Amino acid sequence: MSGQVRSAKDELDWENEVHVFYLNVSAAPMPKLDFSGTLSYTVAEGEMDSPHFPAVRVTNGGGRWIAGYYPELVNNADEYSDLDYQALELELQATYQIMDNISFTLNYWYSDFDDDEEYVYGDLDGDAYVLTGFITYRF
Amino acid sequence: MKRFLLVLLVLGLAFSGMAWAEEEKPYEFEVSVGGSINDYDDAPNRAAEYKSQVDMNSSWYLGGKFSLATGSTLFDIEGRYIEKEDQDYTASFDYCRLFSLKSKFSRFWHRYDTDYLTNLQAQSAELRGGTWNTPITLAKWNTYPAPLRKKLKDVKDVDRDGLVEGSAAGLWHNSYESTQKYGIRHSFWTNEAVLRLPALPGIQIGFKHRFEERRGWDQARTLSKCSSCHVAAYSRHIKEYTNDYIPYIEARLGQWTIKYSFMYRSFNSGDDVPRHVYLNAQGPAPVPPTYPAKAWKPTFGSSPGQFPGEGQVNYDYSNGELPFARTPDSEKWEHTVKAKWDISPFQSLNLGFVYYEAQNESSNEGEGGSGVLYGDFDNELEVDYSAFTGSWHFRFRKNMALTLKAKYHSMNGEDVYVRLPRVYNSWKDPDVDGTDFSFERKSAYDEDEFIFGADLTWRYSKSWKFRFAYELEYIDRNNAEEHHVTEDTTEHQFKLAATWKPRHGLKVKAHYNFLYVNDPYAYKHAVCPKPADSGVDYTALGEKSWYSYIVYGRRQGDTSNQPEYEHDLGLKIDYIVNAKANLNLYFNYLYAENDNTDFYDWERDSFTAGINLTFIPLQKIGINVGYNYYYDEYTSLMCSAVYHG
Repeated sequence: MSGQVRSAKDELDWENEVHVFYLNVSAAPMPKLDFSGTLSYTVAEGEMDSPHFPAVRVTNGGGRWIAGYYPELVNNADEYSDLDYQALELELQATYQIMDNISFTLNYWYSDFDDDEEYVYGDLDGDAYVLTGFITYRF
Repeated sequence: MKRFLLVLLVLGLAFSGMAWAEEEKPYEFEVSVGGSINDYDDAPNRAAEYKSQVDMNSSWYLGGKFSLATGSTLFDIEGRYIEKEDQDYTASFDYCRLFSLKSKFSRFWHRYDTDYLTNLQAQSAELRGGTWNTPITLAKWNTYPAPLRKKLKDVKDVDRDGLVEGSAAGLWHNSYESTQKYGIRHSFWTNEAVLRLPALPGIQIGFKHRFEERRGWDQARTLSKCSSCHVAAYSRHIKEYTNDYIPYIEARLGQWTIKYSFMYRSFNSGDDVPRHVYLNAQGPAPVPPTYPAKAWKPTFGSSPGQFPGEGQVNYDYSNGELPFARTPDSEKWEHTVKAKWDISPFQSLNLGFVYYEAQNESSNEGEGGSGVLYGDFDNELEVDYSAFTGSWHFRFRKNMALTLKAKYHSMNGEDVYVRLPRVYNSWKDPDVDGTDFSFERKSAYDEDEFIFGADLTWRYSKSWKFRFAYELEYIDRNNAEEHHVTEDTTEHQFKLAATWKPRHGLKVKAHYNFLYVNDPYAYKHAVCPKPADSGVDYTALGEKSWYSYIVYGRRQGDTSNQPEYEHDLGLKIDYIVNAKANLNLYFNYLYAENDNTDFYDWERDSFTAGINLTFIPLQKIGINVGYNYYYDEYTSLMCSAVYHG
């Protein structure tokens, strides 16, 4: 019978660091034009120490090595816990008063996520935009 | 709900028609019509986590607003429609402040991620899974006798690298997902009606309703065999509805203000419960040099001298499909009483009482089967909670005020009788063979908590203000021993704060908070055997080794993620530079530690800081710019167990 129970342990540090920059501007450059813009940029990193587990070896009754377990290889836990991403979000909006009761609004939203460390959900790199235009009529 | 909003909209248009007939415009009415072009590249999960319209090349933009104000009536309705999963509406109505009605509906889509389980990819991998000490190529495996290969049918080249993997204990996952695009539609609808009758001055009668819907797909995971090393994932359909009905009455009677409210909550999760066929229970892997060594299997059966079922696990392949990841339906009944007594311009007293009962409506159903997996506990499980609160505020000097507060709460959960099959074993262990291990499980909710606090504010001068506060919290967990957690926890929280206003436009605020916890909440006997200072520990298993003794019984280390000491320092500066500029700065540092844990000291270091500048360079230009920084570091223990066999 070769059943055995073993364990390996290590004391680990987990670090998170986040920087967030933002800028909001609102202006009325012309009498009939209102403008606003927001920009935010986030840089985030998270890292766990690499565990230093000794190899756990299983032996038979005669002391012969019959199997080896390497917990840090099995899980790659430190790599799967790493985070490193940059996120940018931009929104610009302009409203022009065509007539007293009619205005036109143009809105542009853009978002970019740059994933430098795949987490358990895979590579989440991506960007998206929405360009919206609408007319407002006041009765 | 849509009908209700439609009625409000029609009502609004009717009012607007009436209003047009008048000379002055007591109304405002606007309509917005437009559209969007949208797109995304690669994954939208983070870039557009809450923006569902990017899935469409184009979408509508429809908006509208109507406001009416006459001598007696106020009516507002506003809405925005982007697409089915992105809508917002609000409406309010008031008649002479005698009757008012508010309604709000919003809906959005939240993208969920898919865990590809790749961190569980090491299934029986060569050398990693512990199958063989020498990797065996597929070509070599094919030279082994056919009867042997037929018998060991689980031995395959799973990852197609030319080396075979066995069925030994390792990490294993199976993905049975049918939906890869996970996400939940969240819909919220809140309503409140208030009636103030002239015949009952000071009395307000109200009714609130809250509806929440979660609908979509997410990923459900379960263990596929006997341990967390074996994981299976499925797509799960989510269809959850919560309804809160809250009638209340509030009375202002002289110096007293009293409010009573009742809440009935129902939560329904639908009937779609994922089901899984668990892997076949089996013994340890065949190992050289005797492979195919017979995998160790005790004698199975249901007679004395035999194990029930297969391989000492409660469920396996032979049980067929079994439900998992069930979300039970529940109901809650809550009574709340609040009272405030304005004793004098310098003193006030607040009293409160809360009592609720929450009931699990799916714990006595036994849908399609018996036992805990089917929610059959022969009882609808209940938790009840009662709390008393009080605070007394007294400004006893012109520049000094004292607040004393106290709270007591008690929570009780129902005990559960866990019925287990009688256990037999082949070597007739007298402590085990034929024993019925069914037991009464005491609730982990059972606890009592007491809080006492005092808070003194002192305006020393026009430019200096101080605050001193102390709070004592005591928690008694009634069934702590059974749940292997800390029984009594006492927390002492001290707070010091100072505000300095050296001149007009400049305010500096600093604080220091200190927390000492006697016996922080901890999980006893959670990890690692003792002694484990060498980093590795070992116990050989034999046929007569009980899992509970050898595996669970050897865990001796206590763990916690709660502080024993915590220091919290902060500084905040608000500075009005001039008529055009305003500057805000803040810093916060927190250090916490707990050395009551075994094998390691839990620690947390956290630092946050930020700067914000608001600047109006010209009359028609406003700029707001800022930066925030966040850093934290945790020290904790990682302990990995290895079971061979």
